[in-house]
Amino acid sequence: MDKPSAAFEKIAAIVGSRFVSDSPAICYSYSMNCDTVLQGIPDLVARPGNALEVAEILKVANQLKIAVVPRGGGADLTGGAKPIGNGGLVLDLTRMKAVLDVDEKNQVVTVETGISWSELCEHLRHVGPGYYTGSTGPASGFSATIGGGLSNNSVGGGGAAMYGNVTEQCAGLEVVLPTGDLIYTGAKANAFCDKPFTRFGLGPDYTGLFLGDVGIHGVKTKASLRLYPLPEHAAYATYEIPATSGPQGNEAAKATSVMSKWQQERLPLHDFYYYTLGYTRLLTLFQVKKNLASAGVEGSVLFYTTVARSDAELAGNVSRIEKVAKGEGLKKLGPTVEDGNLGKWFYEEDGRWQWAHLYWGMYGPEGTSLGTCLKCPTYQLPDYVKLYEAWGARNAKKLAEIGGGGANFIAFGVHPSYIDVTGGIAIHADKEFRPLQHELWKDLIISQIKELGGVHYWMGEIIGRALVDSGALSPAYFSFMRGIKDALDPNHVLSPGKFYLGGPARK
Amino acid sequence: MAETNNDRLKNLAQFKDAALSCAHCGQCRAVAWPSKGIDHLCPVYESGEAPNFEPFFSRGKNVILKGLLWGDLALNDDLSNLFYECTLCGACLDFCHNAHNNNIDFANHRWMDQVNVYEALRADLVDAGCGLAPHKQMVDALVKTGNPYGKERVEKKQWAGKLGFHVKDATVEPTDVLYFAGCTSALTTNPPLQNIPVAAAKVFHELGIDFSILGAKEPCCGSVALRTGHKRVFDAAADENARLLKVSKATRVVTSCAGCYRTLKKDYGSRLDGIEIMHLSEFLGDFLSRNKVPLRKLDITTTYHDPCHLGRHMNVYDAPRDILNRISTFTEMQCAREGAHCCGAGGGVKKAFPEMALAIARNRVTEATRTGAEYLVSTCPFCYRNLADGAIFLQNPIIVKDLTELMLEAIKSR
Repeated sequence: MDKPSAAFEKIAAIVGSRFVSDSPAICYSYSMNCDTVLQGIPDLVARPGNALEVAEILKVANQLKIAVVPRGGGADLTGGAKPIGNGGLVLDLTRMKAVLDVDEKNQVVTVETGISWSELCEHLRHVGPGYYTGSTGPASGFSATIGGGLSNNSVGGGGAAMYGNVTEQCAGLEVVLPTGDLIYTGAKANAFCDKPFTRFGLGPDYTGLFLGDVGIHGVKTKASLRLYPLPEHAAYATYEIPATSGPQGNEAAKATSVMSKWQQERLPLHDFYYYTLGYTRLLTLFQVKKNLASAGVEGSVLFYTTVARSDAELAGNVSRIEKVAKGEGLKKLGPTVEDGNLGKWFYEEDGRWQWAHLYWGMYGPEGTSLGTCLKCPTYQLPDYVKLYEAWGARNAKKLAEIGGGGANFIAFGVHPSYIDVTGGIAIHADKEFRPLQHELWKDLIISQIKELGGVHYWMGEIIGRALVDSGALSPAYFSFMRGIKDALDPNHVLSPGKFYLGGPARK
Repeated sequence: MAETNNDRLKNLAQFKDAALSCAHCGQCRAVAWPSKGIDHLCPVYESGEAPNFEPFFSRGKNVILKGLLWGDLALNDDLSNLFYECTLCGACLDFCHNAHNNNIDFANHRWMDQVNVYEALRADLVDAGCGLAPHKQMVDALVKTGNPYGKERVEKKQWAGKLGFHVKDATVEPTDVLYFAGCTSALTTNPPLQNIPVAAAKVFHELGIDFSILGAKEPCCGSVALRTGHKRVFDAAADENARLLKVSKATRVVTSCAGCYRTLKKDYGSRLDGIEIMHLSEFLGDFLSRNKVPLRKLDITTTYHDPCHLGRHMNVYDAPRDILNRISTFTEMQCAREGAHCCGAGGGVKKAFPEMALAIARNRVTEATRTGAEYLVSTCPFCYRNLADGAIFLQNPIIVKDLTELMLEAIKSR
């Protein structure tokens, strides 16, 4: 019996034959994430129903030396939720989606990690006075799961300027280690502790070992997250920063000045987002944002949202926030979405879980997005505008060669004082040009790493490897990473190949 | 020369742009969007009957489409179940980057077209000999008897015998308005779906509307053939219908079946140019308001199930609601209009996967029950039938009715 067949039988005995498949079509459907450049077709897919089943599957994987890749909502932007190379088992965790405990006393919710951010936030709306998780996941929160968000240090689905990365809200985990052992981290590591309430204490922050780990250190099966009461009052406004005759960086410099002051003065911003001039022009050119076009917006755009517990507090927030913007001479657009108020769309119409998708499809139906999201100091915003412009100019010929595309980004505030430069390349996705698409993608990532010291967080397949290839990680640091991986996963069964740890050798 | 994949994907190739346009974000899987009345989308994924691997909602199917078009996968029976376990309700399409805000127009939503793409692939599967046996049986019956139920043609006019007044034969006594009953309501006695055409005819009669029918000559619109991939059978049915309807000289064809409505109005293309196709709810809504017909408000509470073929596919949401608001105390379900969940019967699911269809119906009936309404009203006999099955299974006392039946009560007692 070959390995996949043997694994199929053993895994079927664990999860039931209904929840394991070796159908070529089903396996193929798990071979890609949001991009079409990185592909790896698994031999098997399993949908375990609980942590014990996950543990048993990992024990089988160790016995048979089968690669296992955990997958949440599959909305990964950089190939993290599919195998690197063909073969192995994808562990689809979306069956595990129970809300286990809403602990109002400790203000912590504990869930199985396969629930999506939108499902969880909807559940919490109806508990007590109404709650949410503060930072509400990645911008793909309609589909992305809690486990996926925590595995990628995600941010961007709303609330980031006030609450930071989703991982900062994590109060503890239940993790199945690559060997199949099951542990709790945080306060619950104390077997006598009743409820998870903090992840700090009892020695090192081992919760952190599994946050942003892209699934290389363990399979998160339960997570505890901080709760916050739903804001009772909210306000939002959108500004146009008129285009100047100089390079794009001039508009970005003005936005940077406003954003930096907002952060330095610790103003109560729930969110703020900056659409670069190039990006805004694409949105109006392609009529994606008809409101911006009809409002006559020709510059770049900055919007904010703020929340409060009373009208008076809200008015105070607005006054302080808008004073800064006014001081920089920004032009405020009208209050409705039709007037161009993207902040209202973002907050009231759940644009927070769709804003990142605006770019998709602009280069035709057969398009794909190659994410290069990263975190950087706010003051670097104009430098990233220049980097993207230079990258576009440098690669214009290659982009034309593959049928069109371009690179762009949006920047948004992350608590307490930095920004996320979210974007990448939107490109024609003809499979014939995969090698060149891959080359362009990696080139942009390495430019960000080396030229500006960018701190990426969706490591996936391509960014984790580009980080190693760029030489950014010192030999000592990489050896430290490898040591941890080897200790946790001696057979390298879990997510092999990410950061070149286990799996196919680095070329 | 060996046949290539693309040779076998003739129908899918016509929708290549749409088939390749999915960005794989997965919003079609687990979305909860209360502000838009959307609480999960895919009826199959939420049915509890499917193992819910990726192809049991839209994204997984779309990745497979890429694999087919790129030559990585081939048409086979493995694919058939995956692509036929879909009601073609179009909820995934409606939500896919459709912001439901006139000011935001996601670029990739301009390309998406899941319903047409999946129907095209089904046509290729049938051509490759990979269609499903229950559908073949149904389509063979359609070819042989003119209806997918295999009933004698003469039975199609049986309902008219219950009226107690003469109804004109459209091929002999032409009228401007032709009422098209459709196979499901004309031929189904349990549940009593014949009540729908009977009520429709009585409403016309009460309102003094001169109308005719095709009766035993009324062919199947062909919807079941088109939805299940039997395109040639559909084309033949469409041509025959077009010929008969043109012969009838009717200027308006009115149907109480959402499936017939979508098929005649949208899928026939230019075949019925010059003839206005109306759903009965549209026709009556228009007639009642133009003629200021008084209606009695019935002492009942109702909620409304949007048939996918009338709502999402054809954008008819208001007409049935306007009538229900006039004749009853109406309450909306949480998921309604664009966010309405499918009843579970469509796309050939009820025929090939009856347990799944029933599970989906149970979910929808449960949603309706949450409104507290006594009546669950629809405007499609196929929805009626499946929802009634769901209510019976649940032993739920909610009364499933077609809007036409309630209209008749309201008109008769005005």
